[in-house]
Amino acid sequence: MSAWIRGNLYLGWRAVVVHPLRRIFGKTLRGKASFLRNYGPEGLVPTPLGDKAMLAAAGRCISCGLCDQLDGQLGQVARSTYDGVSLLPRQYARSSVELLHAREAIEAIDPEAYREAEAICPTRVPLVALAIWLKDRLGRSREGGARG
Amino acid sequence: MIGSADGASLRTDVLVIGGGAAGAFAALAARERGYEVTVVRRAWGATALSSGAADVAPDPQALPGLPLGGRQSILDAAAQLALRRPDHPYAILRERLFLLPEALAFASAQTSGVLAFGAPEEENRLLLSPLGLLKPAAGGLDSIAAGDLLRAGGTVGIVGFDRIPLIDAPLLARAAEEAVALAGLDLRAVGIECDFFRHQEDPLLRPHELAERLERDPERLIESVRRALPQEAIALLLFPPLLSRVDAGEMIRGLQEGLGIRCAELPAGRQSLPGIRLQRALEARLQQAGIRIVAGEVFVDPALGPAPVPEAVAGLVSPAGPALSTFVPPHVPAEGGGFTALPPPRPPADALAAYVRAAMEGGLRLRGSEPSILPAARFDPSAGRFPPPAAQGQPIEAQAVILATGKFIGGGVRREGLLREPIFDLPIWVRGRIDGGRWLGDWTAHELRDEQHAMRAGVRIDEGLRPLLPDEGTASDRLFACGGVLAGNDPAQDGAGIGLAVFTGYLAGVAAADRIAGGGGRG
Repeated sequence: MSAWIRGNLYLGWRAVVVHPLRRIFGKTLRGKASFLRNYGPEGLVPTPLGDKAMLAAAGRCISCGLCDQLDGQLGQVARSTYDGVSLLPRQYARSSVELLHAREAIEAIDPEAYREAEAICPTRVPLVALAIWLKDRLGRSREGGARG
Repeated sequence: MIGSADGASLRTDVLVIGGGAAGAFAALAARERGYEVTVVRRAWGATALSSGAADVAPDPQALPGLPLGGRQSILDAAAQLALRRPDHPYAILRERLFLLPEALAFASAQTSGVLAFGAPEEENRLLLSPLGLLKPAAGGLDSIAAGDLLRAGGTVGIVGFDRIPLIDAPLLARAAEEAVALAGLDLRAVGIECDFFRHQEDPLLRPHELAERLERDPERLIESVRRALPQEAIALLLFPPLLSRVDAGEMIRGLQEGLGIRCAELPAGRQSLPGIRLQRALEARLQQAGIRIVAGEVFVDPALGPAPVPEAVAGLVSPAGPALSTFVPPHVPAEGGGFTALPPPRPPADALAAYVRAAMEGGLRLRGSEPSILPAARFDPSAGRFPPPAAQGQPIEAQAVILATGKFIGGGVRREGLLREPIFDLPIWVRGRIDGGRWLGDWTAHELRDEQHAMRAGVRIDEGLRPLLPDEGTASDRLFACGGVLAGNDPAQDGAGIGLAVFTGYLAGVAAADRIAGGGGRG
């Protein structure tokens, strides 16, 4: 029997017999658990509807920089760690994979300190809620990574 | 102190929606005539992002190779802009352009000279932009307007700070020399790099952080500049626009006394401190004049029912069909060679007029300006309209309303499938017709300096500054519009930004006061 035929028979056996039986009797992860097992180590976390709404709100930022000028925490946290509240919608909200690299800044910031900056934002980016959400998302990213 | 929506009914003679330059001068003009005025503003808008220079109209004969053009007066330049662009607000208000000097003088007087304009019969001042180009402007913040190159009379020193890359003084001086040579001015420019920030650990400080350090130690700044001054006599020193976070006047005076040289600031680019100073000065002046400022958003009571939907738009969106925002343009060539997604709409003018009237007669509401996390309202195809706001809000009773909500940054014009005026759903005019969801690519051009029709989108008005409906009738004789929300003006192309806001704001404030004086109580 040629190697080609043997190979195809083996694949057929796996597809028709082994895999369906595993799905019925085996312990396979599904849904979110499966997602986290596969992508958690890379820092990817599921994006539920609430996250999508927050990402859309962050997307309203036009990078005008007004908020940075009323950011009382700018300069209080080391500049190499944190360079202004406009980073929240412009960078930190973009990718959960990169979020782990910004953990020092996100842990250091106080969301309530952004009230004044939020009040003058021309496009009404919810900076306070965004900061709270980023802290939560960072926790979820870590959790996902730990599970993976 | 900025107030907020508190649930009780808001009663006022004049309600100004928007707190930028146009709204502020409209409010001050109405207040000066003895009326109770309330300004409701969502947040800061384009005024806080402005450079600190104030354009009224550029010389129409100015060219890149001939920056000074025909050296016409500001008033003549505005009249020529009105002739050149028939859809421009100056053209609509051409019969009242003689009031421009009065409006500019009013702005200077109301801000106690913080915003300084030249006499309209004089030519524009010539400022040096942060990019080294010559920028004609009728005035600006006093610290910036003082940097007029036409009155420099000798060598101009451009101050920079070594280790701070925000302004490259030698490069800017070289660009300025080329520009003034083209303009035929007998000027020399030299870059002066002082060492004030030499021991600063972080070269990437933001403008407000730099300003804070300069304000803290003006004596050291004077010494630092003095050390860097060249041998030759300097007639004018131009500083980066970083001299103060609140008011650069005191710093400028201190520098002039300490150095014995006339000093001014350059107009700002991004992250403009002068823009913030102007916004703060306007808000302080409003409060000083007894005008109430409320942070909030005005909307029309949902109980009045939905805003009438343009027929063509409603017809194209079936109950089961896609929302306009996901509508894919079929790429059918339109008149003029562009592409169109939807045909020009034919909104029911009578229904819209009734809606606006009902809104004006007790249908306006105020809610807080907490930013929403939910995405912007989407057109609801099953209901054939945009969803009404959920909040009930605080009732507003006003005898006259002035719409000074700005354009895209201020939120006076939004694109949600089609271009919208979000409070009254007034029609938004672009290129002489009402937008009906046309593909945005038709309204924009690839080259930055080409005609950008999207930037001219806005509310069309009559000569009394009353917004027009699709049938060109007025929406209400108690509703006025001014500033950036007006159709036909592109500040970048036309060079009429804050000047237009001052002019139309002043006229709108006067018109609202005249309307109340002429009769007609609260709705």
